[in-house]
Amino acid sequence: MKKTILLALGILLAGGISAQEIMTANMLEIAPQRHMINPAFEPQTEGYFIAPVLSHTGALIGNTSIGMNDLIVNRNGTTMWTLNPEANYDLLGAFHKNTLVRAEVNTAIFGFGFRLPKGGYLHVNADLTADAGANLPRTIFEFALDGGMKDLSGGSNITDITQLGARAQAYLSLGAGYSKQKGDWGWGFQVKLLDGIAYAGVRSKSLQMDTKADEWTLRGNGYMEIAAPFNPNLEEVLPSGPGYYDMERWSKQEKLFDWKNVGNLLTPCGYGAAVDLGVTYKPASFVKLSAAITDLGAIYWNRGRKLGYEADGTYNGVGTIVYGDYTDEEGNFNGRQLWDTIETHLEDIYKTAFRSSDEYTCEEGNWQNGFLAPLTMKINAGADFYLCRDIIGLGIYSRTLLHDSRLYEELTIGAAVRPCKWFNFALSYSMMNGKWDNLGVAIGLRGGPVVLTLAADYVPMTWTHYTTESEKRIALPYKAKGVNAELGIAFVWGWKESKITTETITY
Amino acid sequence: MTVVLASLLFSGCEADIDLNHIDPTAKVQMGIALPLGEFSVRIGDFLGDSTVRQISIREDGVYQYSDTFRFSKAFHPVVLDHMRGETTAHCKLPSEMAGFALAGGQVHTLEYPLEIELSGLNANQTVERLDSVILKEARFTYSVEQNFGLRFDCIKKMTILLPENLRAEEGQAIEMPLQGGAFGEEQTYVLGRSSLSLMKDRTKQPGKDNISNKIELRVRFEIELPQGEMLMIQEGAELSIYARADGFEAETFYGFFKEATGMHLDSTLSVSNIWKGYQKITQLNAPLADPTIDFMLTTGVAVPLRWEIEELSVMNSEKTESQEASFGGKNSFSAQLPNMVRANDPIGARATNTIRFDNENGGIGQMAAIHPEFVSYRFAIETDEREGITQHRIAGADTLIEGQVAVTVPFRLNEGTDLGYQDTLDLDIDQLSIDRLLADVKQIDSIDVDELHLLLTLSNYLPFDISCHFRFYDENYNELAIEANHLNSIEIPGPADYSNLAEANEPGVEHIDIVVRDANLALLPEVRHIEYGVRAQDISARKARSRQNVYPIAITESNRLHVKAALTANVSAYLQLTGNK
Repeated sequence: MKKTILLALGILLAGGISAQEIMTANMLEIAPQRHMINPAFEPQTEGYFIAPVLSHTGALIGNTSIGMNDLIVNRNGTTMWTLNPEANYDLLGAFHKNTLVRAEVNTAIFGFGFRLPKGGYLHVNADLTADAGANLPRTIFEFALDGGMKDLSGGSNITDITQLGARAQAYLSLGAGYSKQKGDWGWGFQVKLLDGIAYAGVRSKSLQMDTKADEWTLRGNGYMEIAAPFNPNLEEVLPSGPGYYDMERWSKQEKLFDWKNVGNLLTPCGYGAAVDLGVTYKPASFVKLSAAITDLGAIYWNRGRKLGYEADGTYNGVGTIVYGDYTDEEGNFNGRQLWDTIETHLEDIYKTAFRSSDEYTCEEGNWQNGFLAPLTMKINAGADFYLCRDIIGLGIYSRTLLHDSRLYEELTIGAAVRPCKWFNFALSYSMMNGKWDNLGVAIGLRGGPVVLTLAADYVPMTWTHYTTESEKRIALPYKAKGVNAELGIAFVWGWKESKITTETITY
Repeated sequence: MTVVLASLLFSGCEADIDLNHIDPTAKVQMGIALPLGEFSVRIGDFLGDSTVRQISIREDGVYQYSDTFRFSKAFHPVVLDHMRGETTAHCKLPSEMAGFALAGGQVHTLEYPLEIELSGLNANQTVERLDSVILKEARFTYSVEQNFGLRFDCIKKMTILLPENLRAEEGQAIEMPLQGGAFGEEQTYVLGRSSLSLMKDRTKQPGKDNISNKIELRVRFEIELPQGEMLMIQEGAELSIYARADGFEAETFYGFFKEATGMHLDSTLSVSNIWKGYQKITQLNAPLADPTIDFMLTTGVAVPLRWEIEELSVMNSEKTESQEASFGGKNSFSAQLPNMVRANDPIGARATNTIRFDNENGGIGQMAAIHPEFVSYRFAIETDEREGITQHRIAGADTLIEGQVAVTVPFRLNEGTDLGYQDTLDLDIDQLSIDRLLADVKQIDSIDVDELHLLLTLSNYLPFDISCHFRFYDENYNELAIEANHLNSIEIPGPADYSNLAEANEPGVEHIDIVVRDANLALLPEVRHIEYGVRAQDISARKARSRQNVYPIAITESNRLHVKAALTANVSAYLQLTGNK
């Protein structure tokens, strides 16, 4: 159990938020895949080809708020939880207004690009992306750690958990892009066709708990969206028509999904499209500004189902307290019986608080089939500074994530050395992650027609170890909130020598 | 490259923590709230409307106390044990029969008067004058003697002829049984239902001058000697008969009857069960608007009666205080009973008289100014010698006058009401601890309560302002000094409008926040008894603020004190996060 907890702390509670696009890779001009960050970025080669899987794979896991150092600290030589009074640690203060817990895997199926004879660069690529994320509003942690009762004198204690939501999706994308450099300006775009494989999400339009002294209420409404290439077997757990979701039955359901139809995995559940747009500008010979929007699009999950729920639960005590109902054989008041009654009432509320909504009914044959779900859009902006004839580069990059209607911002600064045409090396720091304890690293190497890139934004700088019962020593990041990494191998041809002058940078 | 990255990844700083040895101590400061429930304390709970049969709810919803106490008293028992009479009649054979012989085979009839004078009657006609009586039975004892050689078996029939003032259902000529008898041997005959008039002249009005105590019977013998026999009659031959009348048992008496000596009825009735757990009522000054006490007398005695109320009062539990009813400034009351049975009404007729005492007649509304634990009454019943009624009738031997006292007290309070109620709730407060509630939450190792609030929302549907108090005691009834705001005096106004009896009006609401913290928290587990009290005082002050300005105030079943209870607390929860467990 302890091992599991620690691994969970080390991995899931870590928390970077960036997509698989490694910001540090911005500075690897040797890498042809940079156009994934900004379609206006043009490779330095006349063409490239990336092979399936090994050629490009990126992964991300983490959260936006806390690392292990927010939970476990050393005080006076003793390792303790930050909830230990002696730790004198404000755990709640570590949580942002919303905490996004997210994991993403992206791998290339294939890709190639080449410079057109009349100028411009054409890209074609196909990727498989799977991502999952859950947004946990800080109010949940406040309720869990503070009890939610701010006013002991009986006032209203509203905990808004509307932002609580989660979604997971997997999709294939087939994209074609074009970029063009003209003078100080550069621009590019990529159009992607999307093939939805599976989707599951739940979110609320409103959801509030009010834990007043004399009444607890949970009210709100929302919906759940499911699309899968197999029967999700919802009939077994959902009410047939308007009625209560049987949460107890749901939780005890052993077989939520029917995997017999897993063979239909490749049958699209949805179709969509997205575009990436980018622009670069060089206001001076040693400065290049860039901005891009990527994954601006959505998938219409035509084989999906949208189910609504309405939450309306109230607990206001056990009703009329009849003294005689809570007395023992000797006539004395027996508090245990009262508590038991309270527990029973609370269980009843839990069982009946969630019911089918009229908006998206669960009535069989009357479900809303199909729904639109946007991708996680990113807005990338940056400024690169070229010094010492491009041997040294400095950069500052911003990434804004639009995930499930919420924005997450991250700022990265970095420095790169590009001493020769076959080697790029960059270091960066992401300010939203790690408390000055992470480092982004990117390396680009070219050997003949092969370009190898390896990059990570959140390389933890502080580690701790846990020794298992079998004496295995497991390293775990201590201060990082998340990790990501990207490996790419590209086959290139027609390397174009850059001509760095103090006036302009041309390829 | 790999070497560079690996060195970056794993040659970073080593955090100074030991994941294999984490101090499991973890604590969170939580503010928690727990709605408990609600309860209502109704007036009926104080009055015991479901447990005390005397408390009921009228059709208009008003609580009332009603009870009936029964009594009976023999008005004038007529005793007939001493009524008896005896005589011996000597029936001399006619002198002209002397020397003659009674021939056999012939029936010879001899008839003579037999007068019986009854004694033990009408000795004091100012108290009892028996004019007539309907007898259930009377016993006649007789024996026959002779002195002329007559054999007893030659008396073939002996007949008693009843006079007009004694009429029997068997007829006026009654044959006495002779079979098996002998001269000088007493025999008994029981006369069945009959009427006996003791008036000299039944055509005249009854009265003491028209009373006789004689029954003038006649006796007839029929003698027959066997064929062929003869019996010589000698001078002085006679047939004598001894007769005695007694064993009178009557069912109805007519005459003049005075009430028996000591026709005073008095009783002290306990009405303490009007309050369930009377000791819990600590203060009671409740001028009641329209209480009634109905005295009801039922009698089959055809005697005009009047009664004298000599006392009607209430007393407190120690009987040290009393409050008497007032009848026009006097404490006594006299009245005729207008309904009566007439002497010529059918036997079994009964008449009922009811006299009601209320605020106007007796002013008994003020009698609740003290604790009315006992109702005491004393009254006398007298014969009312009304003009023109010369004859009474008493049916039955017991001559009972039966009655009941019906006390009805609707709870309609007048000005000046002052009520106090106090009770003690026994409980082990440890069973109500937050620890017990969270005992099933495995992640919580233990709980320290830093501050506890008992939040009460008291809605007063009682038609008057009240004040409440709470006190806490340990198992030895030592008061615990738990100091919390409001506990000693919680003022809760009554509804703004309580004129409508049936509807629950908008109540007066008071929010109570009983805060227990610091030193009081240590005392809290010792609480075993909670005393709570309710006081409604100075309702007249309420009148001034009432829009309705209406008195009296009715106490109805909708009147209650509604309490909604919740707990809030600041707790320190010690968690069980890790460790070898």
